[in-house]
Amino acid sequence: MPRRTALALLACLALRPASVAAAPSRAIIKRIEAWRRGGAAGLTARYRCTRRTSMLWDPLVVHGTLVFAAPDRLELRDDEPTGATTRLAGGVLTIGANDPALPSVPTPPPATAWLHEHLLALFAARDADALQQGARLSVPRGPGLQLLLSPERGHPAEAVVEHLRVRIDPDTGALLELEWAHPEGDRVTLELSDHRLAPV
Amino acid sequence: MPRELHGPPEPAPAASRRLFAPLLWFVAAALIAVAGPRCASDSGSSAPAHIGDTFVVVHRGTSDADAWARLVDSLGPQLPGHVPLAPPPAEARAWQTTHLLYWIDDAARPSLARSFDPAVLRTTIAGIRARLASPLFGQGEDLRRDPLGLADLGAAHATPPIPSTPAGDLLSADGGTLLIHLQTGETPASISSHVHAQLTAHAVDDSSRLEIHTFPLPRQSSQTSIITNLAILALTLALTLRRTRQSLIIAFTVGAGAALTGGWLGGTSASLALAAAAALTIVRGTATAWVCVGVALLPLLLLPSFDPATPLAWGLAVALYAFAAWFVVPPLYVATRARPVEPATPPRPLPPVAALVACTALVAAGAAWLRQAPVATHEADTPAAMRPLLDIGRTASLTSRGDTPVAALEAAARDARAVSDALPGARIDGPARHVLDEATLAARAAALAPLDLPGRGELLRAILRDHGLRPDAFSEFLKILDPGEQPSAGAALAGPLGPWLTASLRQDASGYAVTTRVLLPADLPDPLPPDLHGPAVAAHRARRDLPGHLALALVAGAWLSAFFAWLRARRLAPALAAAAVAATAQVAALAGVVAIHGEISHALLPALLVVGAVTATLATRPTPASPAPHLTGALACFAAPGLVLLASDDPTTHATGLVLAVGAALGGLLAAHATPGLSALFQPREARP
Repeated sequence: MPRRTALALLACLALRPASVAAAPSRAIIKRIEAWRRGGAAGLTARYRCTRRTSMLWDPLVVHGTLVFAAPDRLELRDDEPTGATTRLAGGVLTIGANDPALPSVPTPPPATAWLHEHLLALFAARDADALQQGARLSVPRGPGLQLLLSPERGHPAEAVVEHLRVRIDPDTGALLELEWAHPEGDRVTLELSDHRLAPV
Repeated sequence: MPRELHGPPEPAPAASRRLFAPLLWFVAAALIAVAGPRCASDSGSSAPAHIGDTFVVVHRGTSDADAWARLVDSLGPQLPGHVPLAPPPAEARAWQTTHLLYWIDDAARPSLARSFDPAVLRTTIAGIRARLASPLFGQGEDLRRDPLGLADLGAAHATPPIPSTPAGDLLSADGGTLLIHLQTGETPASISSHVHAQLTAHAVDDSSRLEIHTFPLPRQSSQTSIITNLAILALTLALTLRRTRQSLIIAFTVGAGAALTGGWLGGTSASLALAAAAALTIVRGTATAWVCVGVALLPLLLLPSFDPATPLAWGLAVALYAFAAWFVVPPLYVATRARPVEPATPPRPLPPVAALVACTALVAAGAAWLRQAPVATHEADTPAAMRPLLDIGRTASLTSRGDTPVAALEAAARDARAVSDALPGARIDGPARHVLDEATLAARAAALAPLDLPGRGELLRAILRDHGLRPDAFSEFLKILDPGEQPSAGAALAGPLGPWLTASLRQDASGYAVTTRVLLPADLPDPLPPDLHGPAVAAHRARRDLPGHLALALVAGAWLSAFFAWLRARRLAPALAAAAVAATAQVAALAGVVAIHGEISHALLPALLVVGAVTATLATRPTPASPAPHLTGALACFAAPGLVLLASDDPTTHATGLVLAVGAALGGLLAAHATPGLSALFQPREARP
């Protein structure tokens, strides 16, 4: 999208009435602008996923490949045979252990839809409205260009997602790191590298 | 020829006595019309006359998220008659988790035993460990509280899919729609003002939208309906009779009758009585004709879905209208020097075979239409905005009683279990969802004993450690493997759900009562458990019973019509012809309703019976030489309420309006043109002319 159009859209976003949504701060606009540069029809990247949870003695670290195909297909394949393959397609999440002898997982409750929709919005057409749907945006402390998305107050997703933190490459708009936190303290960090974009 | 009064007697010549009855009629009606409402309001009680179920649906719109969240948490308890639809979610979840093993019924017992099989335990934990590698695993799944997925085995007690607020109101999955249940006699306007005050207090902007739905459905004001009826009646009578004074006298007289009978006959029945009375007055109905119409609703006594008082109330009202036709209308004709109505032109009867063919064709076509007629169940219609949160059309109620709170809760648990057994797939909501009765507790404790749960708990700890998982993180689950803690009624009242359970109990003279909501499965067996009630159950029974009830009422109505026709004519052939014509008009009217309105319901039966009785009355003449009744005027009397009911805001009365309009028109035509032919056919061959 041309820079001028993007800026016009952002200006419209900022000029919306206060009753509709609080105007995003300059810092948020800067991050959204950077994020919008990275739109692509598809993406393949390597990831390093770290899960910190009270269920495990030590943080669990796995490596794998992320494949995203616009508009709504996301797949994460762990390299290790003891890991899992995660597929999110058409709003349906399936998680299968890489070892076929292990049992399948039940469908997660609808409250997790918020996380799925916002993950897809982050990778997809870089639509600011989709990103803001049911979410509060803020700028977290820390290095780099980061954006924090939290479920709106009272949203049922509050029960399962505390926040979704994104680190964006300031030059390319690529997503470098995603982290979501569970209200019970679990934290999952997905660090992305070796981005290979499919042209828009 | 039988000795019978033919129409109202001629007025007595004494003028002073002549107007006594009209004066009495109108003064009494005026007194009742004026004093009636005052008496009702002078009861001295500020309590509402009727407490119904009211559902408030608030849509967030684009209002601020924080303001909306504050409103969602606090709106319900601020409204009058607030009834929580769900327990506080955190407390309910803790209680359900603590007693997870007890919610699993006998059918799922083998699955439970399999879950604790050592090999299955190892595989399950290995699967959890593998899927923890997925970044999206564990979001929303209660791994710590239920790593083995046992909650799915206790389906009847599984977490409800609709989230609830701490105040016990229901919230849509996207958090944008709030549903609040009230039991109050306040009007929707009053409730709306309460809600808007709270919206303002919580700074929720005008983009939020409010819907208020009351059950049972509000009916259109009977008074408005009657006044509109009378206005149309006066107009149509003036046009058809071409006698203004007579038309006004009849309209005012039946209007006064509506005021006099309003205390016990309201709604659609009042409109029916008004139409029948006006029609009989115009055709100068005989005593037998008035009795025939007065007993028209007696067949409803055969049907359990109707109040037995309805036929009695109808009969009393018709008797009062008969008094007016005899003693009020004729003196007024004389006093106002109203010119008599031109005698009706004798109708041209159809030949016997043509009459038979016409009636047979109408009945056959009607029966074919009726075979596919869907049954309307307006009482179970759930407003679209409510349906995703609470589908009234699929929800039944179950009331359980006990001398003490514990006994009432135990009875509720027992009754809910019986319903769950009878209706696989039903979902139980309410206090019974969180409690088990003593017998079930004992049975389930006995069934859990052979599983060696403490031993399996130790094994589970070891397996968790082997896979790098911390057993302490699963301590809540490991604790439930001690089956000593039972979800009994006493423990529930003393536990975290105690305040909510106590608030859910209703106390009356006979003890305590608990209401359980049952979300019915899509395919319902027949019969349903007898203790279930509510709109969904009534709708199911209506769908099942209507064909039988319809046939029973129509056959009984036809018999009554034939009997009174025979009393009047003292010959079998006219009686059979009148009954046949009445039944044809009824079937054809029903088919007309199906063709135009699309569905039929029990609510049509009174109108059908009245149409049948009036048709039979119009079709019966003591002798072939008797003067023909003024059918056009009589039909006009039914057109008025038919139009009013059709134009009503209340969709449940539209079909009744159609029955009156179509049935009366067909009945009048058949009475005039088909009865002589049918009567000739039914006569013994040797008696035919």
